[in-house]
Amino acid sequence: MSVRVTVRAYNVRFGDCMLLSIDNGTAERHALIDFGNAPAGVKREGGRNDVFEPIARNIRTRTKGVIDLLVMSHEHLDHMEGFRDQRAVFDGMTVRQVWMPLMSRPGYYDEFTKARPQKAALIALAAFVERWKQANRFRLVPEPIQTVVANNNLFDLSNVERIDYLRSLAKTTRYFSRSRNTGSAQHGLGAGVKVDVLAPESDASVYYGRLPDHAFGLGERLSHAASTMHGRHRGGRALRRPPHMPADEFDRLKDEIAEIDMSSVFAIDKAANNTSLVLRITVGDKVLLFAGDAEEESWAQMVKRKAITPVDFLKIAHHGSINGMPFKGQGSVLDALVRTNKRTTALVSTCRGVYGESKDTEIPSHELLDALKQRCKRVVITEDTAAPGDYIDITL
Amino acid sequence: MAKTVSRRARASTRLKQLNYRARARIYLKDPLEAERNPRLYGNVVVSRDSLITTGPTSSRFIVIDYDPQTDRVERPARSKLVTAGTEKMLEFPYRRGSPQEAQVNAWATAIDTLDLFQQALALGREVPWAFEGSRLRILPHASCEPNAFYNRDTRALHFGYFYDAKGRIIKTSLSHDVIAHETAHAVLDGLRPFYLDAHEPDTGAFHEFIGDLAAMLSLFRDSRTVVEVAQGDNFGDLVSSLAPQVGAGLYGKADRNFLRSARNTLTYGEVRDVVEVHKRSQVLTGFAFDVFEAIYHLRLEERKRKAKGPLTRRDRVAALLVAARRNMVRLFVRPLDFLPPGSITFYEYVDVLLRLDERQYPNDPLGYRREIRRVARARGVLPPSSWKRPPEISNRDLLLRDINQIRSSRVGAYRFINANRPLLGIPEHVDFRVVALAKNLRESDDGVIPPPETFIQYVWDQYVDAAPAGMKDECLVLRPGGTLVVDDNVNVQFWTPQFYDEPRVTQVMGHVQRLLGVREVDTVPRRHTRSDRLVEALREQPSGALALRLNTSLMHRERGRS
Repeated sequence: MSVRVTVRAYNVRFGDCMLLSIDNGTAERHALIDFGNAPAGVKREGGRNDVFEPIARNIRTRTKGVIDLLVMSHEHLDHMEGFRDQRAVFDGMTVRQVWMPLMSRPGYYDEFTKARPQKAALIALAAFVERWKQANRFRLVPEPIQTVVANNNLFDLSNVERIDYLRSLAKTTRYFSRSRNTGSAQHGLGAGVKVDVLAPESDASVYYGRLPDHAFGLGERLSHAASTMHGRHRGGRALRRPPHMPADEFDRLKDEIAEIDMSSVFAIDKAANNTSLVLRITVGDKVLLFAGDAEEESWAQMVKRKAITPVDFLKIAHHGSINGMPFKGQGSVLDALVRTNKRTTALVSTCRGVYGESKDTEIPSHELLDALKQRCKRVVITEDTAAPGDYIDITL
Repeated sequence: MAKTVSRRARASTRLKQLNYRARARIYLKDPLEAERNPRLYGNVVVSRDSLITTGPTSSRFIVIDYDPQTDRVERPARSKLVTAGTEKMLEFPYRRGSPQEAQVNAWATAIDTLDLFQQALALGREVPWAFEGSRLRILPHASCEPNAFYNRDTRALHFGYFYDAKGRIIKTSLSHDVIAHETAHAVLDGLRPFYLDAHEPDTGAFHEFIGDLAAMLSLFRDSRTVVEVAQGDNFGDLVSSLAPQVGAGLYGKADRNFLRSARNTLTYGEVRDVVEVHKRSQVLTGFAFDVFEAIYHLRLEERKRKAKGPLTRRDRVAALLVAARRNMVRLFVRPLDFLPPGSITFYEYVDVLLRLDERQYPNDPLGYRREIRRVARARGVLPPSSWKRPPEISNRDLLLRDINQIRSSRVGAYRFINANRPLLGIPEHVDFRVVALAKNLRESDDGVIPPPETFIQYVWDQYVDAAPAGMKDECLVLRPGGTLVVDDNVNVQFWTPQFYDEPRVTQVMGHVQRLLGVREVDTVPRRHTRSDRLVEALREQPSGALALRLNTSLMHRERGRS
């Protein structure tokens, strides 16, 4: 009996939302992978969440109210904001189980102490951002950094509530890494379906092992600053500006310093992306890869573990950014992932003009899209194929 | 009439301001050493910069005490006029431990470091900064981290502060060695702006070496330090152990009591594949320290021969002073003006050092060069026998020998270089440019003031395909070129050309490959934001090629302490 595999890709503007449906003739099972959009405030209406409601209703209709497997790839708003936002819809649905990366498990940082700096940096960064906001200076932060800060939801560290909500949706919540994958066989997608967890590695510090202090010095610095703000400067009133420097020159200097200080934000963002749960789902002779926002460090680990094999469906990582999936030169994984003779379908879940301020940094990268078009049977770009809030079905 | 008097009075006040020297109470090494030995904390006279005022501010430096993490601006140190002996002098009083202490300390030390380079024994000229602006900013409380750096964009030296295990504050702006090191980065950047390019591994390491060299040599500005060094049982511990307080704060005192040591045995061969610039630089720093030690012992031997009785402390002090002040500065700092502009390798530097010494002392009467060669050979930095020195340029073949035209502007110098393209090996069709033009007035070891030399630095762009290095079909820009030194009659005094032939390009690619391998380079250029990697890829316009540039804000961040 032939199995019908369909991926419904929703246009959430800038984010991921895919509904995988597997119909084996007798029953149809559904896996919902991510549901989010970039946060408010980014360019080109990227953060308008009016798409969530029609999509949530469509998911309910399509699944007849039963989701066999719900996957949150990582804790970024563009992958999870929609669930809690549409709790009115999801509360009325049956979710059999929820999967998350190991890093979302309570107590994770107690076990993996080496990964703590990432968390510390995030918390410290949140405090830093808050202070800047209070001083009404956040607008001075370069725009790409503002969006990174927003994407990590650092204005409002209530990700816990969002994740708790997801946990509350199902009786079973499982947390996976490549090596801790016990239970991945109980995916609930039916016999003949195999799910492999390719990433993340259990210890998230492997993704920033080379650059611990570049990336996370910020945490250390900010926590020192917070604890000593009133200590070091005891006595004497501070000035608004140095009396021996013109005000405009001083403002420029402050902006330039802010740029240097915020460089660590990129590393923090990258580290969060690399905690993405990367799943390879095999249904009969069809192989599908959902890569979340895995970036080059995560791909390097997957290559090292010899986990990269050709697939029939490939969800391009990180919305088609140039630094998401290595696709050129040495270390390219694209060639290893696509089947020869253009037999792979690629999905780029993205929205142009939201991130990246130059040809080099634009998302999606035109170079990556060109490379995909050369190598793949079909390249589906959500923005081009469906209106916001609408979807496209990809049948394999 | 009243107006005229007023103007005259103003001019007179300005003239006085111009001539005032300042007295500053500073740490000659750092607070830790001062605790051990109170003589290493005291007054110094700051005389090498002019128009000293609140901040402190002077002609070449300005202290801005802004802490971005607390968003606070501290009150600047204010000067008051005091009488010291017969001289009226400015003074910056402060309380110990106050922000003003760090302001004054960093400022006074930075001025002395700049003077180390500018003095007649070394370059014999004013060194420009690499940025558009005349004052280098000093931020004595720039961040709460064990880090200090020079940044061209902010035109500033950023000094961090942090807390040791016992919760005591350690300010890098109180460490002589850190201040001298960072100021030296700014000085070298002014002299050779392309040396922050990172396509060759030695160039970044050379920056680090010059920083450490400045920290070692500028210690000798004050006789108190010289006496302390001379008294020490272990020669030069105070000199070779860089930034002891910062090191102790970071590592504790159990196994390591300094940030970095010039006393090491590293050889060039051992660091050939090392990307990390500090580790690499230690070969040259160690080489310099070995030479210092060798010259000191030569001087001491000489004194021993001349002295009638056993060596006194005075003999040792004198030997040290001569070794450091004269020979080390001449040997190691003076070559900076003769180096090629685009990049530098250790061999190129050591070769220029030896060539200059040969030119000045062809017969090596004191045996210094013999010692330098011995030490350089042991360190592996002596150019190999296959090393080719640039061919001699015959003055007779030079065209447009008009020194006034050459000195008039960069365009004037360009005309001269352009006229002599074939002699200088500049390809016929490249659009080279003169990037610096300078004239010196220096003093030789024996006090003779030789005729001034004119330095012309020229470069052109050479593009190489970086695709084999995995840089996503990008093109890298390299800067071949040279430095030509002529005297007042346009006789060639020195020439250091630099070409990127195939073997050298292959070496560059190998290094880029290593940088990529350890993920120390950003392959996607960023705009408006800083990179979090040690090497940034900057896209040059209009060529679109990438220049690899060291990210100085991360160069000194302490690593491996997650």
